[in-house]
Amino acid sequence: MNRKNKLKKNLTGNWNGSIAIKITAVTIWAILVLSFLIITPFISEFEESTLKEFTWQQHQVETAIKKLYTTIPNEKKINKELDKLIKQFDILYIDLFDKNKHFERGISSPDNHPLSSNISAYTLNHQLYIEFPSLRKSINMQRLTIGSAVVGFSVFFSLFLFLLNRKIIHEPFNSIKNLTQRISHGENELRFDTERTDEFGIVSKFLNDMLDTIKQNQAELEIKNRKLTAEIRQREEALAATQQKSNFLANMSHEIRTPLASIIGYSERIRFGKAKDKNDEIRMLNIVLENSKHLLNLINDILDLSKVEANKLNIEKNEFSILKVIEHVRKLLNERALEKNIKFNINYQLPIPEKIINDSIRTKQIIINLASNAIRFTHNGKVEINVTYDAISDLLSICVIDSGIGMNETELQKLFMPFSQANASISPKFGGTGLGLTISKRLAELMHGDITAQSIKGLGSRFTCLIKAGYVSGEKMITELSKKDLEISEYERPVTDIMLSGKLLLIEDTFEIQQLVKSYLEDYGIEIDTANNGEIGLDLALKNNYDLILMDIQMPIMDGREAIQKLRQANYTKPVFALTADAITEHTDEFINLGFTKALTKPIVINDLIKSIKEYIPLSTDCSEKEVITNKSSNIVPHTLANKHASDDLSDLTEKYRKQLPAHIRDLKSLIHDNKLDEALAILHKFKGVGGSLGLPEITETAGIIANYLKNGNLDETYKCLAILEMEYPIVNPQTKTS
Amino acid sequence: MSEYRYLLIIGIFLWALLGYSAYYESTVPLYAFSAYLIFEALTNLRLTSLLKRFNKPQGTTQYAPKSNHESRLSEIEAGRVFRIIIAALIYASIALLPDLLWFMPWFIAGMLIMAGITNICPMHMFLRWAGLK
Repeated sequence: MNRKNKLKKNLTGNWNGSIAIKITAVTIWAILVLSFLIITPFISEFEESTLKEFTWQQHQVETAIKKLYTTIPNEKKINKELDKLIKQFDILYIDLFDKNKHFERGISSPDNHPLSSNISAYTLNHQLYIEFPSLRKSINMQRLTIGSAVVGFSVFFSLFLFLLNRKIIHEPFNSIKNLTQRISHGENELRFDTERTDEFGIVSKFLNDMLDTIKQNQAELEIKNRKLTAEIRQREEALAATQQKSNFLANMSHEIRTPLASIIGYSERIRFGKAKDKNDEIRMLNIVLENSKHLLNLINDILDLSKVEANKLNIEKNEFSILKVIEHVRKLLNERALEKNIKFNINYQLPIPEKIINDSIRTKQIIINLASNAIRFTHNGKVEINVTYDAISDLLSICVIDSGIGMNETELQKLFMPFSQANASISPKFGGTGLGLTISKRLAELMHGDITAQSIKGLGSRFTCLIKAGYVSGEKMITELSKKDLEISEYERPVTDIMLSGKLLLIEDTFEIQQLVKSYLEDYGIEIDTANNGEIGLDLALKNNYDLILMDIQMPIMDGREAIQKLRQANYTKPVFALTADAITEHTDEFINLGFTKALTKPIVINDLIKSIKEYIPLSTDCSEKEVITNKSSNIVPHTLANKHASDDLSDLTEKYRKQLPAHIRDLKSLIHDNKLDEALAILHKFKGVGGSLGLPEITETAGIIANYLKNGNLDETYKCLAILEMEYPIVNPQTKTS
Repeated sequence: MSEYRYLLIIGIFLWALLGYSAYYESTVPLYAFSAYLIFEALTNLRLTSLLKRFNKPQGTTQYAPKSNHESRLSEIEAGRVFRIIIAALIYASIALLPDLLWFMPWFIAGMLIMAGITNICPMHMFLRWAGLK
């Protein structure tokens, strides 16, 4: 620190008072010093003149007295003149002594001063002793007066100056200081008083301008910051989304290619006649069908997700039995649980409404998703579905609990994010696309509910799905479970097979689809004409009287949109169905608006197609309705069912199956013995599918367990289970089997 | 009692003594006052320090922060030198040059009073700047 700074610090460091005091102090120092400097010369001059005057007075008195005694002989007159002199020259007293220095007489003033100066004068006959007031005392008193006055004046003036400074300088400063302090503490809306026209007013104005500028800049910065933050977040989200989509595509690639590999591989084998026998061919076809369904589910999930992202996912409310939905899920997933040796239980906490009003298909979709996830991630232990109903909130709670691998907090947080699974290692290990939970959660929200998840790593997970039951007061509540409540036949078998009598035009550019639809519908007695594009179709439609037209949308020469418009313009009033692979809802609505009667999505499901067209094509007069088995999840392919009129009714099928079962078990044992495990598994697969379709779940469950043991190479357990199956055989009897 | 309040008191006291001396034409009280200040400076038995010690046994006698100025003078307290200077000026004004410096005691009294009121003493500031603590 240099000397200048030190001086500054030491000088100002001692200035502890306010600015008013400092100004006052400096001013008073100056006044004090100046006062003494100015007054002192005057005082000296005054004192000098006083001394001269005093000496002159003394001389005058002396001269006057001498003259008096010389010129006036009368004693009385002398005394009188002396009194005059005492008064004139402020003489204290005059003592007269004779020639022998004896006191003769004294004349004094009324005042008596202890200190005084004196002179002696001599006359012819007398000595005079004249006493004057003290010159020194007089000067001292003068100094006392001046010194006291200056100091007193300075003190009082300093107080006055202090108050004045306080009013003029300190208070405005203090006001600015206090306001600055408050602003610095965050009260940014405060502003300084600008009413004063002095420097404080100007400073206040500048400070206000500065604050306004800062505020404006701050606002601009905040906007920019917000924009930047939003941009960064968007960028991060975009990057994350891109990353997730990349991961998703990678998963998709795997998920799509795997079933495609099976479909292509087995199709080629069948196509080139590589099947060993009919059973082998059916087994291969089953695999192709299962993989095709898997692909279809995958595509449906992706479509659902796109609807979720576009907020276009809608629900369709209908009345349904939640018990039947859950029982169907049990039926669907029980086999998978058995394959993994997992207990799969469903517990109902009664009472539960017999019917609820919500979207049955979406409800089922959610439960299947949660339960299949639970089974997928559980290696041993159990999976439970607990169903409860809260009458107060009218919420149905479906709680899926598993003893699977569980998740940690981080994994839980991103559980419901699209394209993300709990961690990257899950997809390769367990499969799945990471879409199911996202879709399910959104569906639950649309159904006025929610899905929450709790989990402990290594111990298991608990997913709770709440949906609005829509229970109407007075409706029946289930307080005790009966077989009827859990009976799912009605739910599973709503479609009836019928023979129709009518003429239909199929406008479709893909030959395979033409053939497929043709083969489907000809079994139902429908006469079909085909056209390869809209133009030909339009021509045929106007020339012939078709009961119904099925028209593809994307076609060469003339597409479906143009064709329907032209048809309607030509006053064609017959029903026309759109066949489209586009499943987006708005597009479906667009087709209806174009003039289509209905829109059917590809792939074509025969039951849906028949249900739709039977409204427009009359029933055949020589055929009655017959119930058929249409379990979509079973291993019986639709076209096989479509050919069912070559066989008997369900009881005939069951009887036939019952008769064949012992032979199948023998074949199975023989194949296992010969170590032809693939063929054995194919037969077991057939057992499972056909057993389920014929309403014999015991056969399906046991066949599943046997297949599982066989895959694991556990032959002892396999033989034991086969023995159990043989023991169960007598139960497989139409007369004894009631379920 | 702070040092500045003490300055106010001795300023008023000096003022009163000057009045007494002028009236009675006696300089003895002023000599006595100077002697008292010299005593305080030399013995460091200052009234303020004694009072502070009495009130706060562990307190220091400093009334201003330490100076960073490093010198030999830094060990000498400004308050003590301040007293010596005042005593010297009073002595010089009454004994050596009474007619020339008659105003000096009055001036000192005024400055002491002002220092006591404002807490700002130019002499102290100078001494501290000079390196005294």
